[in-house]
Amino acid sequence: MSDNIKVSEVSEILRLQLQGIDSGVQFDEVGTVLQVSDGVARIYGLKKAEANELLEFENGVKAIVMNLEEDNVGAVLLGPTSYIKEGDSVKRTKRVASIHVGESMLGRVINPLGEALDGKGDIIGELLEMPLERKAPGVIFRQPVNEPLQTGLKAIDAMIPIGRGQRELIIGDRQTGKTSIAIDTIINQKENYEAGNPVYCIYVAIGQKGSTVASILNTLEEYGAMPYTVIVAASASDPAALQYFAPFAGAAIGEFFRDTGRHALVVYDDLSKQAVAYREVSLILRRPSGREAYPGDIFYLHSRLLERAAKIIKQQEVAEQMNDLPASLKGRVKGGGSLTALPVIETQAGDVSAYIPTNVISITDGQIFLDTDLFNQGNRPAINVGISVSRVGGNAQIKPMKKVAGTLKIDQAQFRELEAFTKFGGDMDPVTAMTINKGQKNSRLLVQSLHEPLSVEKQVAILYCGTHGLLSDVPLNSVPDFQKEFLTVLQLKHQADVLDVIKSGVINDEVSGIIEDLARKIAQEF
Amino acid sequence: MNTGLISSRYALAFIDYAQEGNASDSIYLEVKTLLKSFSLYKELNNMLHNPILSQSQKHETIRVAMGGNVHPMFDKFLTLILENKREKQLQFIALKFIELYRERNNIFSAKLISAVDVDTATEQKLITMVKNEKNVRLELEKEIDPSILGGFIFEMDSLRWDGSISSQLRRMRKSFADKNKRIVS
Repeated sequence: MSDNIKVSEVSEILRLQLQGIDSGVQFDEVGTVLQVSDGVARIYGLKKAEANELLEFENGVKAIVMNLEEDNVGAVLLGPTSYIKEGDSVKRTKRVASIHVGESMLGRVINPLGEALDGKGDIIGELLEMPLERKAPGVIFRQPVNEPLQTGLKAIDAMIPIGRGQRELIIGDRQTGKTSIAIDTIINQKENYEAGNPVYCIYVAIGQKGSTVASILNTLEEYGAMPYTVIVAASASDPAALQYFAPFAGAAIGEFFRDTGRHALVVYDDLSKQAVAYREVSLILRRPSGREAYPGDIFYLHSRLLERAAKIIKQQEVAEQMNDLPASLKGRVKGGGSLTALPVIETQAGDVSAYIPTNVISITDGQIFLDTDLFNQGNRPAINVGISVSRVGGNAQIKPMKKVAGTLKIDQAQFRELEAFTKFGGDMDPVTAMTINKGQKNSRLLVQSLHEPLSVEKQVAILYCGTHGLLSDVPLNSVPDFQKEFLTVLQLKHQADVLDVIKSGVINDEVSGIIEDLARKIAQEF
Repeated sequence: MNTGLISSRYALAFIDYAQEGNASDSIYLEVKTLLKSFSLYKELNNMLHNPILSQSQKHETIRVAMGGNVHPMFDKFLTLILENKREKQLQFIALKFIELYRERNNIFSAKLISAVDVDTATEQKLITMVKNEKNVRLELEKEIDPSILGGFIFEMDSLRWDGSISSQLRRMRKSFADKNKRIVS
């Protein structure tokens, strides 16, 4: 009887059944955990494991291979250490650590593995697999920085301009407004987003308090910046490995936009905490330590991360050949995109000559140095113009800004020098008095409230007044009022003949004439 | 940093020494007992890492962990490890020793985990299947684990074939969860 064919054994039905079954059973390569402590596991077996490969434990916790030794593998855990025990088995996934990136990620808060943290459900839609560690684009796939990235902050856009594809460090002590500069820059990209030419923003919070991340999210939501922003958060309570990988996840998301021909801005807040997390992981992995107990490759850690910020060449056929393209991006590459990086470093008591600050200063294309004293004096953003610099952004400044603010930086430096002398009192010659008066007015003009970024044309107009001495008769305390009124009138009456003209990159006698007349008229009111 | 290198060197020296004294077979069994103790009692490893305990106390504990009856050659080897303060690497050395012994004696280790006891016929069938494939001496270890619900898990060396019902259910659950994700790989 057993030789009789049953109805359910008809070939067609069997074939359909086979199609429907995804048995998924295959040979896995497994290893056994021998030791586990402080977020690092030593695994025996896994002889074919590769560096940076993602491993998976039976309970779903993931780990990344960091050390390949002769008879064991050192892996950092991406979940709680308490979930893993000695003797647990772990299998290879045969793929490098990666994150699934897509448009649907915008407006979300995620962890470095791409899992949603904001309680709004899974990230759905089309997602591309982007490796966390990826080589930066080579020389021929890049082009010089030539497009500005407006921060909306007068002091930065005028004196330390940032270009798209640049790496500009924000450095300073605690409570000097480092994060505020980054957040203001993100908020200022709203204009581009509304104009249909978005600069996508990625804010990477490393080792911060959960409450801080929540308040940043609130601020960004309040100012309508979330539709074009992704927050990657690895908070202080997350394993060191996650904090170490967070900036790489941010860079991978940025690369998705960069390589598909769009513009992106990534803020790493902050890299000193990432360095500390990496030091922790390295010490537990028993890697030899160097200065300040950081491992020898801490410079390489930051340089390879920041090198991924780039302006990609416009020529489509060259861009398509870009090195180390992930398989998921093949056929989707578009030239002309950019990834701008704003790494943040916290110094201790203003010491920029410590190990990590000097490293990152030397890697980046300039730094914005924030000073506690200036901050306490009310100069906010508290940028110390003397030691802040932008090495490539000058080429990206729009012409009117270059013309108006070209000498602002050096003028302010001269003013600071002269100001020191006036503290002794005594008479001053008229030239010195004028320089000091102008310097004071300019300093006041550069003060800007929190989360109130200005469009570049307005910045040019108001700075024109400052650099051309049109504020000489306005009392120092009335400078903010002057600015407010001047900009309001300009927007109401001269949008087309002044602001739009400046925006298009032109500043001529006619425009400057209108500005001067208007400024004199308003100055008389004070 | 050099854990792997150290354990490989000690294991290699030990197996050569054991083979010279024609004691490698009995030492192999003793090392297996030691490894079993390592996996059963986590405290054993902690004890070896403890800086307060003296070398002789550690030596004695290892002897007890091995069932009290230690081959003189193994005992000498333990003395050497303790003298060189490499007892922290003992577990790695033991694992490497097992690996080297199996390699030299053409032994292939396998493990069969099933929800219920497997009959001898099935076991023999499995052994013959592997032998036909690999032409080696098969060392099969059997384990009964009701938590896998059904099916079996077969481990060979560092490869694992997981045909258990529990894993299939887990995979099914994951595929449902991923249903609305479209991931381009």
